[in-house]
Amino acid sequence: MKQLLPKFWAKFVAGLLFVVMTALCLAAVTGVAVLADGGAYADGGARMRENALFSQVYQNVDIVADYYGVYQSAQELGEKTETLSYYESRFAKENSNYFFTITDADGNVLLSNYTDAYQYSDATAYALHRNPQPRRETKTFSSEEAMSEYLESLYEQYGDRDVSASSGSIVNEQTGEETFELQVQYTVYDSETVTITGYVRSNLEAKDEIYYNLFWLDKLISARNWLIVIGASSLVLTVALLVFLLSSAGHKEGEEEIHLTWFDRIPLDLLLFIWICLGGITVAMGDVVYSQTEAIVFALMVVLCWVPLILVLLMSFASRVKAGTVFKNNVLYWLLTKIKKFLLWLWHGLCYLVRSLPLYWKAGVFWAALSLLEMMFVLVSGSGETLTFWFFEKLVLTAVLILIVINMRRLQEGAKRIAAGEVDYTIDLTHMIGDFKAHGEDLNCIRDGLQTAVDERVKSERMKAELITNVSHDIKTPLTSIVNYVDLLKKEELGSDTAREYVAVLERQAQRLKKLTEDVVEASKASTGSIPVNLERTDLNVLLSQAAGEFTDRFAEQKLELRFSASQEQTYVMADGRLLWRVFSNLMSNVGKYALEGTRVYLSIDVQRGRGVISLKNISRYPLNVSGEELMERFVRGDKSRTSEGSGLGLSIARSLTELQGGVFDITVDGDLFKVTISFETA
Amino acid sequence: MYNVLVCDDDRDIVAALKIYLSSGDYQVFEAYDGAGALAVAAKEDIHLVLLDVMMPGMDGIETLTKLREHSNIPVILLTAKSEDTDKILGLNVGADDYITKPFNPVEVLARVKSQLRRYLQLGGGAVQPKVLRIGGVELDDAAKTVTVDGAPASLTPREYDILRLLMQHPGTVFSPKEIYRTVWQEAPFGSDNAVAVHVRHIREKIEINPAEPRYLKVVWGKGYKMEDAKK
Repeated sequence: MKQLLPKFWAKFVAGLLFVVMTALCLAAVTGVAVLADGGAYADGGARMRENALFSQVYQNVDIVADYYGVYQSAQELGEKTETLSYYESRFAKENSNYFFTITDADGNVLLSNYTDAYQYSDATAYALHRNPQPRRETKTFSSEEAMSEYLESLYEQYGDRDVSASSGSIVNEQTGEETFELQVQYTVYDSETVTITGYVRSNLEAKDEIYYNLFWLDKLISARNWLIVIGASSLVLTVALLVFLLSSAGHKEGEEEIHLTWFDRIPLDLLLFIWICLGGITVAMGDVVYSQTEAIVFALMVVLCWVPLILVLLMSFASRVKAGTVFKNNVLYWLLTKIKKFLLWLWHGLCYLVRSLPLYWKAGVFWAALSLLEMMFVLVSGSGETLTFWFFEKLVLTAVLILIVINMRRLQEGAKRIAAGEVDYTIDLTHMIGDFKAHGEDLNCIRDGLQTAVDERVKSERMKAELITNVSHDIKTPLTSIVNYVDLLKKEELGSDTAREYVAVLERQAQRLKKLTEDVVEASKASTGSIPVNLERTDLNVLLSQAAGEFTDRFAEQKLELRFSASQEQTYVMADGRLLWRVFSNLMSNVGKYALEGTRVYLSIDVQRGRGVISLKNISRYPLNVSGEELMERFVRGDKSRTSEGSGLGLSIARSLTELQGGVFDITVDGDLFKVTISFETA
Repeated sequence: MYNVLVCDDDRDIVAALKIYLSSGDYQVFEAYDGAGALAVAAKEDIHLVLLDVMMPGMDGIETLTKLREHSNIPVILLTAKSEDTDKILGLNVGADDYITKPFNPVEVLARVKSQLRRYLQLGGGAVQPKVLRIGGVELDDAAKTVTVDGAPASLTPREYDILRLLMQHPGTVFSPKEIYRTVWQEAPFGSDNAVAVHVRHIREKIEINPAEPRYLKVVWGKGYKMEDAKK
C-alpha cells in the first residue's frame, strides 16, 4: 500500500474510481431518499404508485377539457378539424393507456375515447366556458372606497384575466364635491359544469408516458433494498478511496520530500475563490433547466464535473497540510505579512527618527505639542484672563526652555568630543548660566586632566623608545671592537684547541649580542608605533613569492622543503611592502632556526570572508611547551633553556609590525605543528 | 698602494681597521675626530676615507660636508644607526657608501676595494655602446659579460637575461610575472617563485651584502628594479 502512494497511475485509477463511486453513491442515496419519502419501505410502494397514477390522471384533465371544446366546435361547424384529429389520435386506444368519460350533470356521457378495465380512476368537476360576450359599463361612485369595493367583486366573479378597468375623478365646480367614475370591460361566458372522469387501464398496452413512468417506478420500488446496499457499499468505497487519495497527495515517485505541483503553489484563498465562482456559474446554469430529462442530464454533468474538482481541491489541500504551506501560501497571508512589515518599518523609522533627532528638535516638538494641547484646553474651559495669563506664562517658559536646551546641547557636544578623544577641545562657557556653567567648568577640568595624562603617556613612550635606541647605539660601538678583535684573535696562532673553542664561543655570543641590540630597537619601535607606515595596495601573491624566493636556498641547505601556494586570483591588501617583508623575514628565519630538518614548510594565501589570509606552517624541531599567545610575548622562545640562537623578539616584532599595518597576527601550536596566520582586509 | 684615512673616536676600532687594511696592502692614516680627519686629508694624498658618523665635536656628516668642498675622493660612512633615513642623509651629503656597526671586517675590505676601483681604475671613463652601466655594475651585451667594480661576475644565462632586462630600464619596477614572460618566453605558472630565487642568486653575485642590496632592489609586493643607491 505504501509503495502505491507515490505512483501516478495508482492515483489516476483511484481518482477515476472515486468519481464513479461518488456518482453511484449520490444516485443511490437520492433514490433511497425518494423511496423513503414516498413511504415505499413501509407499504412496498403502493402509495407511491397511487400518487404517480393520480398525478398522471390529473395532468390530463385540462387537456381533455380542451379536447372537448375542440370537439364541440367541430360538432357545430359540422366538419373535422386538424386539432380534433390530433386529439383523437392522441387518446386512441393503441396510443394511450388513459381513457376518460365526460358526463353532464344528469349523467349523460358527452364524450369518451374508449372504455376498458381500469386500475385507477379519478373524477373531477370541471367548469366549461363558452360563448364569450364582452360587456362594458360605466358607473359613478361618490367615494373611492365604494368604487374599489365594486371592482373587487367583479374580479372575484370574473377572474383577474377578463376584467380591465379604468377610473377617473370629477370635481363639481359649484359644489366642490368629488365624484369617481369607473369604466369596466369584462367578458361573460355561458358556463356549464361537467364531470371529467379519468382512468388508467389495467393492462398498460400502449407505450405512452404512463407506461414508462410506471415501468421505471416499479423498477425503483423493486430495487429499493438493493439501493440501500449499493449506497452503503459505494459510500464505504468512496471514503476508502478518498483516504487513499489524500494520503497519496504530495508524494511523487523518487522523492522523499513532499512534492508540490504548480497547482499546489497557487494561493489557497485564490483557489477557493475560483472554485466558488465556478460554483456560482453552475448554479446559474441550473436556472435554464426545464424538463425532467434535462434535470437528470444536468445533475449527472454537475456530479461528473464537480466531484473531480472537489477531489483535486482536497488533494491539494492535503499536500499543503503535509508541506506546511496551508497558511503561508495565501494571498491574504502575503498581504498581512506585507502590512506587518510595512507597519514595523514605520514603527522602526519613527523610533529611529525620535532617537536621532537632535536635542533641539526633541525639546521643540515636545514643547509645541504640549503647548497646543494646553491651548486647546484653555480655550475650551478658560476665561479671557486665564488665556492672557497662560499666554505670557508660555512666552516666559519658552524662552527659558530655549536657553536650557542651548546650554545642554553645548555641554552634550563637548562631552561627546572629549569622550571621542578630542582632548584639546574646550567647551565654550560664554553666555552659560548657573549650574550649566559649573558643569561645563567641571568637564573642562576633566579634559585638562585627560590631556595631561595623554601627553605624559606619549612623552614617556617616546622617551622609552629613544632610550632604547640610544642605549643600543652606544652598545654597538664597543660591540664593533669585540667583533673585530675576536676575528683578529681567530687569525692569531692560538696555543691550544681549548683557546680556539673559547674564541668560537666569543664570536657566537658577539653575533647574538649584535642581533639582540638590533631586535630590541626594532621591537621598541614597532610596539610604540614610531615606524613610518606607508600603506599601499600590495599584491600578496607577489610579495610572498618574493619572500619565498629569498629563503629557498637557505631552506634547501637545511633540507626543508618550502611548499608555496598562491591564491587563485590576485589578492590585494593595504599594507607596507617593506614592513610586511620584515614580518616574513622574521618568520622565515624562525622557521630556518626551529623547523625539524627534512620536513615540509607550507606557505599559502587564501581569501576568506573578504580577508587575505596568509598561513605559514612548519614542524618544530623542539617540543613546544608554550601556547601561541605566550610565544608572542617578548623574549619568549620555544626552548625554555635558551641555548639556541635568536633574541626571542622575532615573533613579537612580527606581530607588532603586522598590527601597525592593520593586520591580525595569530599563532597556533598543535603538538609540534607551529602555525602562523596573518590576515588583512582585502583592498 | 693606496692611502686610506680611518676616522673614528673609538681608538680600538681604528686600530682594528688598520690591521685589516694593512694586510690588504693599504697605507692607513688615523684620525680620532672630524678636525683631525680634515687636517690629514688636506696634508696627505688620501684616496679613500672611512668616516664614523657619531663623533664628539664635529660629527661625521659635518666633516663630510667640509671635505666635499674641495675633494671628490670616495667616502664610506661608518654608522651605528641602521635607519634608512640616516643612510639616505649620508648619501645625500656626499658619501659614496655606508657600513653599519657592528660591521663585518670582510665587508669593510670589500667595500673599500670596490670604491677604490671605481674611483681610480674605472674613473667614469667613456662608456662603450652596448655596455649598460649602473653604479659599479657593467653589462657588456656584445661580450655577454658582467663585471662588478671591474671584477667579472659569472652569471647563468637566465640570470644574465634578467639582469639585462632590469639594466635596460633602470629604476623601472618589473613584476615577477613580467620578468618570467620576457625571459622564459612562457606564461608564468601560478605559485612559482623561480624569478625570486634567480634574483636572489644575482644579488649574491653582484652585491657585497645581498641582504642590503645597493643595485638590485626588491620592491616588496611589486617586483624588482635596478638602480644606483647613490642617485
